[in-house]
Formats: sequence, C-alpha cells, structure tokens
Amino acid sequence: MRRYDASIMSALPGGPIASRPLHLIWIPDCSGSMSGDMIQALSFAVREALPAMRIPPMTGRALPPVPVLVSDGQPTGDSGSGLKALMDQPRGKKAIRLSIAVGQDADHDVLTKFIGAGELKPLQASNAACLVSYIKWASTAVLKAASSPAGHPATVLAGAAVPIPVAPRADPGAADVW
Amino acid sequence: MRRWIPGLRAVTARRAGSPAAAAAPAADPWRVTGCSVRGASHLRAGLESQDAIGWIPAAGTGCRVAVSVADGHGSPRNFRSATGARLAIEVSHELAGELLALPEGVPGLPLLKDRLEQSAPRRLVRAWRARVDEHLSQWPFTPAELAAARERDGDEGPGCLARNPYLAYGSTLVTAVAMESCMAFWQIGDGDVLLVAGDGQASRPLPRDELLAGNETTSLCTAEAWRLFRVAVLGTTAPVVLASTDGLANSFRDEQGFFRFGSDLLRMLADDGIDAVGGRLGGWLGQMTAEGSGDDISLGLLCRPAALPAARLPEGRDGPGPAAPDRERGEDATW
Repeated sequence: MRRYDASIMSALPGGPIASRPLHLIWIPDCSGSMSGDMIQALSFAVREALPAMRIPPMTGRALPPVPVLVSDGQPTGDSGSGLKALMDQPRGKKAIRLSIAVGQDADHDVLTKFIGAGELKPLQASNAACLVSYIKWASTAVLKAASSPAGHPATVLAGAAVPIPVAPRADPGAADVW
Repeated sequence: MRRWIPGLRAVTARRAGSPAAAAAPAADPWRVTGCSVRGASHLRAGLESQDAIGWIPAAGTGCRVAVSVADGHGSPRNFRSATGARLAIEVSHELAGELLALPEGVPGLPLLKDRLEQSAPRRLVRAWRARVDEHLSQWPFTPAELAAARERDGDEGPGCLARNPYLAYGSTLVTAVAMESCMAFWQIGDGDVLLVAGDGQASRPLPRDELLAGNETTSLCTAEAWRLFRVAVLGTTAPVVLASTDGLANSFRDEQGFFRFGSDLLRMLADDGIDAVGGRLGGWLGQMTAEGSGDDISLGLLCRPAALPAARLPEGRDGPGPAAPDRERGEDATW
C-alpha cells in the first residue's frame, strides 16, 4: 500500500488559482495632427495608468477586452483596415469598445464608427486634465464593470452587454483648451 | 463521441482484465455529493447566488444517478435567472429520471444516443419554457421590474421582455447521468463536465462550444436554444465525474489546473472517502471564488467508490513509504 502526506489532503485541490485576466488595449492615434501637446499629454496619461495594468496572455477564460481608441478623428494612412482587422478577431467582436476624442475640433465620425451603434458616445477631451481623467476612468471604473462575472446570453440587445459606468464630467473651466 | 475522451478509453482498455475491474462489477453503486457557494463578487454586492444544483436520487446513492448544475446569468437583464436555473434543474431531472427508470440495456446504447441527441434538447427547452410560462402566470413582471427594464434599455426594454420573457430567466444547464455501464451528458452554455479515469487522467466528454467567449454564453433563453445543446453518450464509466458551473474552471489560472483539480479529487476520494471530501467542498469552493473567478460556483460530484484506486495510508502510520507527489514542484498527479 502506498503512503501519502496527510497534510496534502487539507490543501486546495487543483492547480494555481487566479483572477480572470482582463485586457485594456490603448489604441493611440499617432498621426501628424496629434503631434505636439496632445500626443505628449496622451503619452503622460497612459504612463500614469500603466501601474494599474498587467498584460497576461489572452486565454479562453479571459474577460472581454476593453480597447480604447484615442484620436482627434483624423488618422492618416489606412487606419480603418487596421482597426477592422483587430475588431474582426473573435475577441474583438466581444470587446467593450471606448473612444476618446482629443481636441475641440475632433472629428467624431471615426470614433463613433469604432465603438459602433448604441447609446455610448465618444468622450470629448479638450485639455490635458480631461484626457487624464478619462484615461483613469477607463482603466479603473470601466475595467471594474467589465470584470463582473455575470453571464450574458449572446446578442440579446444592441449595445454593450456590460453596463458602462458614467464617465467623469469634463471641467469646462480647465485651462489649456486644445 | 468517444474520441473526446482518449484517456478514459485507454484506462478502460487497461482495466478490462485487471483485478480492479473484477472488484468493480457493473452493479456497484454510485455516490453523489455536491455544493454551491455564492460568488465573492455577489457577496460584496449583496446579491444572491444565481446558481442551482440538484441530484437524483435525493439520498445520493444508487446504481443509477444524475447530477445537474445551472448558472443563472445574473446580469440586470436576466433578473429572474436564479429561478430560471432552478427550473432548468427540475426539467433536466425529469428527463434524467426517465433514463434512470429504464430497464438495464433498454433501449440499447445506439438508440439511447440517437434519442438523446435528436429529442432531448427540444424537449428540455420546451419543458423549461413551459415552466417559465407557469411561473410568469403566477408571478407576472412587476411594475418595478418593467421600470428597471425601461431605465436600462429605453422603450425597447419592456418590449424586448414582452417578446422574449424567457430572457429574464436565462440560465445554462449541465447534467451528468451515470448508470451501470454507461454515462450520458447534456449541456447548454458555459460550465464543465470532467471525467476522471482511474489513473487520474481527466478529460472532457463534451466538445468545446466555440460560441462561448468572455462572459457571453449560449442559454436556455436563446432563440432556437435546442440547436445549441451538446450531448454525449458513452458506453463506459469513469470512477469520478464532475459537473460544474463556469465559476469553478474560471478560478484556475489555466485548464491544466482545472484538470488537476479532478485528479486531486480522485486521490482524495480514494484515500478519504466521499463523505470527507463532500464535507470540504464548501470551504474549497469559497476560497476559489474569493481568490479566483469571483463567480458563483456549483459543483456536482459523482463517484463510484468500488472503481476508485486503492487507498493509501498516511505516512508514519505504518512505517515509511514512497513520498507523495510534490505539489509545489508541480509533479503530475499520477498513481
């Protein structure tokens, strides 16, 4: 008869336990129209949010990813096909998409197309403080909502399956308006 | 269907002329146990569990047994999903009960397989919807529920509920039936069935559902839900069968960890017995949801004690023996 260590029997059976991975994907528009203060502010904001992000591999148990497009709505080159290819991925189709319009003159068409039809609209960031605030919101409040384990029957209604929390209000009195 | 359980097939072949096979005749009884815990995220939010679990016979022992788990979706649009999960268990056990009552060998494996694959899904969906209709006739949607739907989805919300009231009750379903010499499984939506062979090798009897992604799942409330069922009938048995909602597998870092859960359970069942293991389930599942998925977890466990490997003695009780596998080093749970 074989022997065993009785202490093993009180341990948790199975392999390592871990919370489900969730991917927040920043898609910054780096075209010429974003150069200068806007791209610097974006870079700063993403860097600020980085400590809250980890990037485990996207396995079968991963929660739906949250891609965030940050743009003035005037990308150059063939950006449309790139975004389409990304969103045509199986995980892309289930993604919770957000977009942040940078600058008061931002063209919302591209940003609206990215997030698709529904009640959610692009967020308008007209200064650096506002952009930082939205990026922090996306990387905290939205991620928390997306982390809910509640299931959803596939495609019951148009729009996001995960209720998106209300975004912080932009400060109209903030300086350095773009 | 057998191609999905290569491990079990191999073990079955090895066991054919072995002493273990002789010690486990076809009529050896099965034991059933299970546990359901509220998800850690639900605890934090003050929400009730949306899972349901049940088994037959209620005494938890017999030569033919069945266990089911159901996972009510729990999102705001599925605000009666705990009831939907409970109704799913009820209708599934009506079907399972008929299997358990069949004379042995009737109607024969091929016919049983054909009937389950062709007829069971439609029948289960129809029965579940009838139960939902019955529940709704007794408990129509309240003004508060309709107002919440309007607030959430605009004017389309109540209209959507009127067109498909089953949406409010949306649930998955996983059922495992074990008989003298065969097993049957049916499932819609996420969740898992795991077979554990005598050598500790774990495998899935049902194929993957490519429609499942993230938190989206197929459901009893989905249009033409019967098309989305997965069914398997096996002409062999395994010593341990698990049926669980997705909160369990999602708590492990990877699928290997989940398979190892099955292997470890087999070892514990062999050494300590099903009553001891059943008594620990609540603590284990509670820890898993807290540190893992955060979701409700329900686990049904079928075990055929006579088919388990021989028990081992604790070290020091009867002299030294071979060391147990070292979990920290990640050794495989082999015998």
